[in-house]
Amino acid sequence: MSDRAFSYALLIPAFFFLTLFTVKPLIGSVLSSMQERGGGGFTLENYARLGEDETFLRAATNNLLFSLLTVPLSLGLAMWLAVLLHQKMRGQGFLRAGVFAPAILPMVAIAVIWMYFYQPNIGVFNTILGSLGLPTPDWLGDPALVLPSLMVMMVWKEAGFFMIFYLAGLQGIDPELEEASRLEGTGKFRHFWKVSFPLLLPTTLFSAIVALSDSIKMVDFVFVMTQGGPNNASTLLLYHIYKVSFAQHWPQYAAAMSLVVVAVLVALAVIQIRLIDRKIHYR
Amino acid sequence: MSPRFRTPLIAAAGVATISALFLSGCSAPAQSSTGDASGKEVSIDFYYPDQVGTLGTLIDGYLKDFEKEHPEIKVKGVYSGDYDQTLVAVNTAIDANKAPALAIMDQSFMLDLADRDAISSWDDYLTTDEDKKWLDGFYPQFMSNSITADKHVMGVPFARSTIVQYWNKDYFAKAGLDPEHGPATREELLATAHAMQEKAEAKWGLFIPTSTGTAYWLYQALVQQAGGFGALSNPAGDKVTLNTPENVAALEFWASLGKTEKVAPDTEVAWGTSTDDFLAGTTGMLWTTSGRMGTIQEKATFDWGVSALPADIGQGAPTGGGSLMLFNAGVSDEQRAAAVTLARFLTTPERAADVSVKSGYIATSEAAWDTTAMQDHLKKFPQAAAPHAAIADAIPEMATLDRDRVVYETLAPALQSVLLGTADAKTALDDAQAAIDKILSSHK
Repeated sequence: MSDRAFSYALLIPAFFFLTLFTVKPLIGSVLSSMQERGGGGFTLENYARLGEDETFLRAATNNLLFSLLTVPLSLGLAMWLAVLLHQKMRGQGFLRAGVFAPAILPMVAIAVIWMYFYQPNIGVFNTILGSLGLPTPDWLGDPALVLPSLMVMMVWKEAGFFMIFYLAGLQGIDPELEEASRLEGTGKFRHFWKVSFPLLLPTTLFSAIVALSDSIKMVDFVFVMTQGGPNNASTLLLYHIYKVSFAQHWPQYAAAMSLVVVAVLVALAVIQIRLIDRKIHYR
Repeated sequence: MSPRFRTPLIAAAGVATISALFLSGCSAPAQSSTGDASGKEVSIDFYYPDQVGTLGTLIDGYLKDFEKEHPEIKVKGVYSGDYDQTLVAVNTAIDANKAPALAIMDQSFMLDLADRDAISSWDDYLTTDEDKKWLDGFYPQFMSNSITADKHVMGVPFARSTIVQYWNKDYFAKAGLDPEHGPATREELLATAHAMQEKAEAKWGLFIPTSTGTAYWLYQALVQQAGGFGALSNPAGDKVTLNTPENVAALEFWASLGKTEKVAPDTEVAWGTSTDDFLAGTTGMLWTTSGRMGTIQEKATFDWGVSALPADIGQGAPTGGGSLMLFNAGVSDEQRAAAVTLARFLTTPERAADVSVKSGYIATSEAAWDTTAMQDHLKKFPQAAAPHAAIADAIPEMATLDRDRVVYETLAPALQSVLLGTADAKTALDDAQAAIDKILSSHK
């Protein structure tokens, strides 16, 4: 058997599952998105409807805000934590495990825990604020606060996860560079900014893409904590798509929405890669 | 055989095995009548939700009893979450042509399911006179929205409820109010709420939950009280009445509780945690489902009262809760017959009384109300009479075609925008009426 045939044989399992779980559903979605409600017919109405579907537009705006803020904040915090925990200190393993813990918990468990943190009358935050004589807002019940409250939770969860990647990245940097900096008398911040940060860019690129897709695909907490309310203030794209597809039993329109979201995600990933790739030094 | 030749073979064999496993998994039927032609033994799926936390175990017990009484019928009971999750599960099963033969569904899903031919009319499967009498036994208030516009019965009342008011008797006593009587009018309601905040130091006077999933339901009661058409929708479910002056007045009153009267928060009053807030003494009064009475009875550390909602120009609250429905997709005649047998078994007066005693849902028939179990329970626990009294004035729960879009996606945010102070009632309701008219016109 030739090398070529052998390599294809090795690829067959991957292709098989890729076709079954990715390509076929994708084609199915494209076809379905151009059908009328209940199936059949050909129509582009599903795409035309997107522009005037207020819930969809609200979900898109919410998601845009959610992604734009949680992605850089999570990564920034993750990088900061990684630099801190990269230093030699007492209880290092314990601290690292503690910071990483939120990443191991299932999202639903996190949502339930944070929902009780946020309870207006019996929650942890308001109990602390109240005992200090500070105002005790209704974190999940106030349309102005609900989305920021969810973002804080998301950053908490994501930062621990990406911290591990940055930690690995930092450990991959040649320690001689740090010694050189020390000998030259370079400040810690300057060393980080001129040496560590650029060398961590491959990690940042990878993490940013994962974080962006997480910020769109993770919606479990919306089900548990707010159901998109009040007044759609916490509706996110995938939650809306789920509702339309399953609760409203309208998979055709949901398919159209999904495809638009996928197209935007792919476009963003390409932009991210193009923009950051130029500045990255791969070794 | 050279090592290089062996590897692809193993790989190919692995692929073949995995594919075979996967395909066999895909094609295995989930529901089958094992006795098929002989008709001796039949197996059915039964989906049941539990909205209040006490129903699941009850039904598990009933199913065990059923299999003893009917060994020829195997029931696969599937606990399916809350009502909305059950709808999703059933929809998925219908798409796979493997619907459960019987399921407890939120009564207000019925019109949508009937419109899609997902469910069957019960009267087609009731043959004997006794069967027909069975349906006549249920309270008409519960049957009113179990019947389609063309007079087909598609839901059999199982776990039905209505909205009642609960109050904290300790606060009433401290505020110098009569703890034995809840407010009977709107004026008394507001006066009581204020008195509890001022004299009994309750943080809030009155919680009427504003969450997306239930806002329309509580709003129905407020519209009814304001003298409007509390059902909000017609029996066919293709028309809604949302922008009358009574509707506007009802919504303005509701919003005033948080904004001007300050007896409730001006943010969302969450349905899920409102019972906890009542139990923790955060609010002195709470409007919620009678189905929560079991929980309150079990957990309250203070004396509490319960009664029908107060009246204003009109009176009455919508019914709610779940009914048994017969599904079509992939269900054989034998399975259908077995489902009817199971439904008859689950709704006997004794079991209806048992459900009521253990959960707080309302006894679904006069016969259930008259059982000794129910009457004994009433002697020990007189509060259970309140929801039963409340159904005298009950109105049908709002139910339309495309319900999720109409009720959750359009009406709920409209109500919330007013309650949270970002829109005025008239504009919000006019907009909601127009949007819903547009949605429903696509169904004619």
